[in-house]
Amino acid sequence: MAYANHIRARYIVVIVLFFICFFGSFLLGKYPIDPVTLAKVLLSRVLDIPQDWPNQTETVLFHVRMPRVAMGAIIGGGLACAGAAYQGIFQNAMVSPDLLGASNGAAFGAALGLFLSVGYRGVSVSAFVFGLLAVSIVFLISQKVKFNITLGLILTGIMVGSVFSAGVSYLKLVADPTNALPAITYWLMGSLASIRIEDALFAGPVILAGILPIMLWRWQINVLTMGDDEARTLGVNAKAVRAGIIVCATLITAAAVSVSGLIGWVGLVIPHFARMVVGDDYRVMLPAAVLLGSSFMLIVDNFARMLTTSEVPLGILTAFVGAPFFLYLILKEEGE
Amino acid sequence: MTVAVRNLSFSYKTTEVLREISFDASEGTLLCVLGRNGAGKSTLFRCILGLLKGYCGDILIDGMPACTLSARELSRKISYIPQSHSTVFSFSVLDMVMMGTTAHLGSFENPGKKERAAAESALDMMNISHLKSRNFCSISGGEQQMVLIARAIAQRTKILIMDEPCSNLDYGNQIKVMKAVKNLAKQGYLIIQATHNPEHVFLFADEVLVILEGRVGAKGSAEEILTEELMQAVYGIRVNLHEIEGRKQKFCLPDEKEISYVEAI
Repeated sequence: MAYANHIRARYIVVIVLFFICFFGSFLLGKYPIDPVTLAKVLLSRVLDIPQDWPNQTETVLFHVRMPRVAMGAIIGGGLACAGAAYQGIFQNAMVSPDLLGASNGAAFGAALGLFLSVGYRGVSVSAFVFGLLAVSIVFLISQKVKFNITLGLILTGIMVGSVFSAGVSYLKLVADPTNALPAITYWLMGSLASIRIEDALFAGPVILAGILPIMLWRWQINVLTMGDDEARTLGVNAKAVRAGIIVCATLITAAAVSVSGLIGWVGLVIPHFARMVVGDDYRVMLPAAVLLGSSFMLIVDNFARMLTTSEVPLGILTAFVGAPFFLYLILKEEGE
Repeated sequence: MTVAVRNLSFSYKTTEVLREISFDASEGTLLCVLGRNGAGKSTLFRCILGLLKGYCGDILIDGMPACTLSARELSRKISYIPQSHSTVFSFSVLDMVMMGTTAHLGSFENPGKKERAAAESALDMMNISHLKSRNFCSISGGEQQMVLIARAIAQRTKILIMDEPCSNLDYGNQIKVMKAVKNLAKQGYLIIQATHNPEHVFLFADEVLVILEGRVGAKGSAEEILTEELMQAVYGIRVNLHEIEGRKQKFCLPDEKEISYVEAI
């Protein structure tokens, strides 16, 4: 079938792009590494290769760049996955993974951690816990809504999210303006610069654990886009699948925000881009969105660390790139 | 394959919508449900499909109470054919039909070769194989309705419930869809269909169920039960029934007095 071949070719391009971005990101930075050395150092872990590179290269690669590139890929892929899943289960292409307040909750948790100076680890944990808490509150309240469960979820999400973001503003108001305030402000801008191996080991598995069930559910998401009633009569337990996806997407978002701060736009723009490239069928679109999300995040992060001498916060760059890109996609879509 | 409804009553809060509805339907039948807007047709269907809980009375599917079946079990017995509708995301016609096979897949399973073959043979059965690679959103309303019927066939249930499949369709497509539905009934399917068009009932229905103010107004063959009095009770206008000699076919027209205002103006 011609249609399928053409999609398959595009899908392969997406996969190749991901690998280029992934390995390319190891090479770039203030301490450039050439591809041959990269290959040698990586292979030296499994094969017996005599060391002809400085120890510094190894340190940079495994302790600085590896956690950053790995987490960039995982966070980008995770946010795109969560966004695409939300768009499916809420039957709305304008939805992003912070719809139900996960990001706002996590931002509040992080701000609270920084305000109380609970230490680096404490901030991540606090962000993660508050992210989950915010969505749990939304979920519990929305169960009381009787008229329209989906609309109830979205409305409660907006309300609870704005309460938490008011909380963040209040913390900024009362924070010590020399230490805590800049820390909170900078943290909210989002960055992968300060990611350490411990972060990767904590957030990485959580995000991957959130991506896996969503990936496995991708046919059911297709059916859910028909609406709850139709999905039920087609044999999908709409409520259960939606609840499961909300749990997974929340784990992804809260874990991502807890180590990288607020990085917007990826969860909204990338699923759109994936739809344009491979179509709306979640069986192909979801893995494509994950790979494109990873690639996008890695590219933007490379700019973040190369553009100026001091790092540009990633959240600012994703907005700078994401918003015009989104407009471009919308205009192009109308033209077809 | 039988559907038996026994003393079914349903209320939204304090408003009673269905009152003691009872009827039986078995395979090989096209059962048309007539009733004015808001008479409770959709509510009845939603109860049978398991989308509304909290009704009184029993709905028996092949003798088993529907309320004891899970969504999944029910979806292997009854399929629902909605009105042709637009979708938020665009799927190919083949994918759309394959969604019918979901009832037979595991929760984490994607449709494979077998499901694809089932979808293709369903498309074939409806004579719309040529639409296979088209985008569901880009085909006509009549074609969409045919695709949704094919989806129900791919679902491999023998009971189909259709909510006004011909609304939004042009005259030709209405007849095409009704012919296809009638064909399915002849092949042994049980089709329960809401309709607003009495002509379709006279032309195609094996049986008619008339819902009047949430109760069963009458049930039987169209020729026997659809009288001028009943039509007036259902639709609130005076109706004349006519018969064409050569075709032995009944049809109805609004009474002359109903349209006399046209001259008065």
